[in-house]
Amino acid sequence: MTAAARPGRPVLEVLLNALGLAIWAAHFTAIYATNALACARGLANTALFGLPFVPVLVTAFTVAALGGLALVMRSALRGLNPPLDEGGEAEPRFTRWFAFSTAALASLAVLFQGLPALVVPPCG
Amino acid sequence: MDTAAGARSRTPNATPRPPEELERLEAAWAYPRGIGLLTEYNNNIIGPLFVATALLFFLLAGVLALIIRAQLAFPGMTLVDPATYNQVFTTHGTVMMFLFAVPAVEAVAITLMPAMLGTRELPFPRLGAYAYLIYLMGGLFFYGSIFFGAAPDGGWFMYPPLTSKQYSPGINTDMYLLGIGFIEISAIAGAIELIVGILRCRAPGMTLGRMPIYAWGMLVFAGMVIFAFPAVIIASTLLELERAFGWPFFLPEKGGDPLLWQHLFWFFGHPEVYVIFLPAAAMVSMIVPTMAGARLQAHGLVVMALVGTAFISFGLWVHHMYATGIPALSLSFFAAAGFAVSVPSGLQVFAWIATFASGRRIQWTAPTLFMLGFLFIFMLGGLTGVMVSVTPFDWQAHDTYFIVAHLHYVLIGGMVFPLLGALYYWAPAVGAALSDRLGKLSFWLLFLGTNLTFFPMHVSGLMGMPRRIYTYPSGLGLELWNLLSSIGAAVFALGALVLLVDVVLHFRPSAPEGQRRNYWNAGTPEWLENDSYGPRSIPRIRDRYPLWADPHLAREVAEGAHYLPMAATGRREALVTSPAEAIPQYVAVLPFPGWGHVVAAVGTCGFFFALTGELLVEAALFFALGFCGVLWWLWHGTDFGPLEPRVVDIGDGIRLPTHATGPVTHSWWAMVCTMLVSGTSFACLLGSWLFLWLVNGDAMWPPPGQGIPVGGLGLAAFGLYAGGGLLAWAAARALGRGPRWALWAALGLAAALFAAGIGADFQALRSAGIEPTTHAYGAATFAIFTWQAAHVGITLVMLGYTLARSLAGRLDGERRVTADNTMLFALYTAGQGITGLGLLHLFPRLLA
Repeated sequence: MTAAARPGRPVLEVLLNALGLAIWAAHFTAIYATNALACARGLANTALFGLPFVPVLVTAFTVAALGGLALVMRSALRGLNPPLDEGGEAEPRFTRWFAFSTAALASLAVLFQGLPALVVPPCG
Repeated sequence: MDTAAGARSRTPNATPRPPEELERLEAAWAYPRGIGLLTEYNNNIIGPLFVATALLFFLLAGVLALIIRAQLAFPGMTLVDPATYNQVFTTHGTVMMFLFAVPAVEAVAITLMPAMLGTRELPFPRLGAYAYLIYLMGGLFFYGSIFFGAAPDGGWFMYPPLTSKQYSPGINTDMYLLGIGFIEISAIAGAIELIVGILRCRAPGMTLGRMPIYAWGMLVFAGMVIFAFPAVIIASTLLELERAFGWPFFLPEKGGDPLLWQHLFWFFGHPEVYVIFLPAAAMVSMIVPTMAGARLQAHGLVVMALVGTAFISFGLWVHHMYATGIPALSLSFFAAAGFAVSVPSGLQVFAWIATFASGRRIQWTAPTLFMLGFLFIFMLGGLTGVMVSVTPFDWQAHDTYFIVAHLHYVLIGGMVFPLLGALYYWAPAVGAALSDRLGKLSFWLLFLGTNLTFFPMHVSGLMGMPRRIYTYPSGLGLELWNLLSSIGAAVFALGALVLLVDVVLHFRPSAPEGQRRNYWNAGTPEWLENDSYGPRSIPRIRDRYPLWADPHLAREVAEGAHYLPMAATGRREALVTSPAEAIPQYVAVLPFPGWGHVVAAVGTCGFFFALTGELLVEAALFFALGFCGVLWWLWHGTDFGPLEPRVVDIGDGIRLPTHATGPVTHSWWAMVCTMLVSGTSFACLLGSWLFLWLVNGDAMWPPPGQGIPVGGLGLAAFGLYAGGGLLAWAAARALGRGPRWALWAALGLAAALFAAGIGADFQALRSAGIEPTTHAYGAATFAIFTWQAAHVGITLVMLGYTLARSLAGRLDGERRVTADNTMLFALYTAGQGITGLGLLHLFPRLLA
């Protein structure tokens, strides 16, 4: 163990490992706000690119979120292989695995939440 | 700091240690005598008291539950009248949730966490003691209100309009809004203490990957408290503003909406369930490996489950609002999140089963039984939880006894059983062990009682029995199920009585002669020798279960062979380490016990009690007392500056400073946490404003007679806030580099800019004809302004306090923690003010 912690690095790195869940939160906020606004302001029947407003936006947010989560998982998987020297006694496999598994859970939740927009009427 | 190169020795320090070293350590951590003991903050004293107080509230709320069940045992009973019944069930729920469940898990953490992290003490022990004192005094006051007919009576979630001034004109609702609101301060104070403690005070080598799962659970708990509890504080404040001053947030005839309360309350209330459950689950993840004699299976997945559940639980609040007419698709988002959150919960259950399965020799003790009871009861509660997350089912079961059954299965199974198991498991780590025989007897009575009480409620609920009715007619087929529930409650009470007898008969704060220290042969550091000063030396951690991995560790630590076996400065100290890898960074000097936090607690409680009774003069006096207590506490108990020796060798050749400044300090971290609490509260206010805009429509936002805040004045406020913040930042940056008068001038000018900023902010609203009582637009706008004004007020006090420290010679380039904290808060206040201006000034103009 060394006594010298590199300044400014660890906090950000720890937080970045929860990026998958942050994407889930952003997705959830976006789809909920979209539908609330659409129903409160009578936009539910408005067309966007010739398609229904709410399902299009919710699907777009869902695809974007899943894309972001896929990137997080890919990055975490790559980090699992090479031995990382973080100076101290951190366990890179633990943090990378954490990043991967939380992103996987977030992907499941995002998919669950995005699918109903294709079948449930927005303001029914 | 620097590190000695060279080969690593077997232990960080050589033994035997000089005899005077232990004497000095004991002297630094000696308890005050006589009445001075009230000022002691040591977790070995505060922790058990905290746990005992939480259990007291469990029993007190349990007595109310028995009254409820006695009243409902037969149809047409008149044991209590309807009005009293309303107070009884409201107080039962409120006390169980706010005065038992949350404080209990926090109390266990304050008791155990220092030992589990291998540290001497948490970094803000007086904050922990303050949290305990206001909880104790506030809780007893709140509970006492029922004897005077003044207890809240609107149900534990206190929906308006039932709780509006029109339908609840007495002080019952105020008792909840002010009483519970301020007790939440205790939870938040404890949460900040735990976050900083867990992230910054772990023993060297205890990386995040090696951190005990209970510390993970409490870290998640504390983070959730920071982000969830502000919502209920803001909701309570808004309702109190409506009741006291007529600001119509929830009155539809004036543009308000009762659903705003439900959104705010349940944004707190649903995560609250996990705030209670996740620490309990983490306790289970500590106890099961010990009882199974095997490491926790899928440790990484369990950590993921804790963190993932915490996040997703913030997307579930509308589960409680399925019957409010929210659009169908929105409901399905929440239903989907409900399915998603069951995945990590299921993962934990499988991990515990796998751990039991992997154990070579399971210890069939009382804690083991409580763990198995937890699994059975919580599983049933979880399954009915999935049922009620299905929207159409919930429409049928909503507000029936099915919900009462579900929530009790979840809370008793998910929290009470693990907590009681933890009581039996960790009692020998704190003092004397409890009786295993009585523990098993208590378990079986509680297990039988729980199922007999609550399982029939599923049936009575599905038969249509609504919750919260004070009686029911005969002939509806409800008699048998209610009688069974009441008999079950009596059996449960008998189990609680056996537990109480066991605690009274057997628990003592110190272990008896011959009691093995590592009582259950556990693997985690809380089973190391522990005294008033914590461990004799701070252990070097190299494994998730260090006591299993290194059989010599306990002896070495007790001999002082590990880190910091001394009181280097002659004062109480804690070793501060880096957040991810637990690399030693500096030795933090802790305050000696003092009266400041005690006086502050008395003042805080008195202020809220007096306010509840509308005794304004007395409230002002108590406010002044509490304020003086806080100043006294800070003046004498913080920012000591560099002490001798300036550098200390803690072992392994690691030389650390005994003083630190800037972002590395635990004080900086606590200030950031405080800002997160404020920021979340402010976000709730912004969200409330936007919600009311959404329900009112653009034409009524602003309503006729009121306008958009005056832009020029808003621009001036923007400049003044920004100038004030920048000046505070510049003053802190220049500290110790220039003449002192320049610092004083900068602080004074910053204060003037903030004061002028809030003045311009106010004038911008008044000049546009905005006023808070005629319409929700004005109320929501003034709520944001008032929040900002309060922050400007605190900033002015902090700037003045910093000036006073400098004048008294307690502030310079090295001794600068006060200035850094003031700078952080001033920057936050400026940013918050600018954000508020953006919403109030720009948003309506964009829509126009």
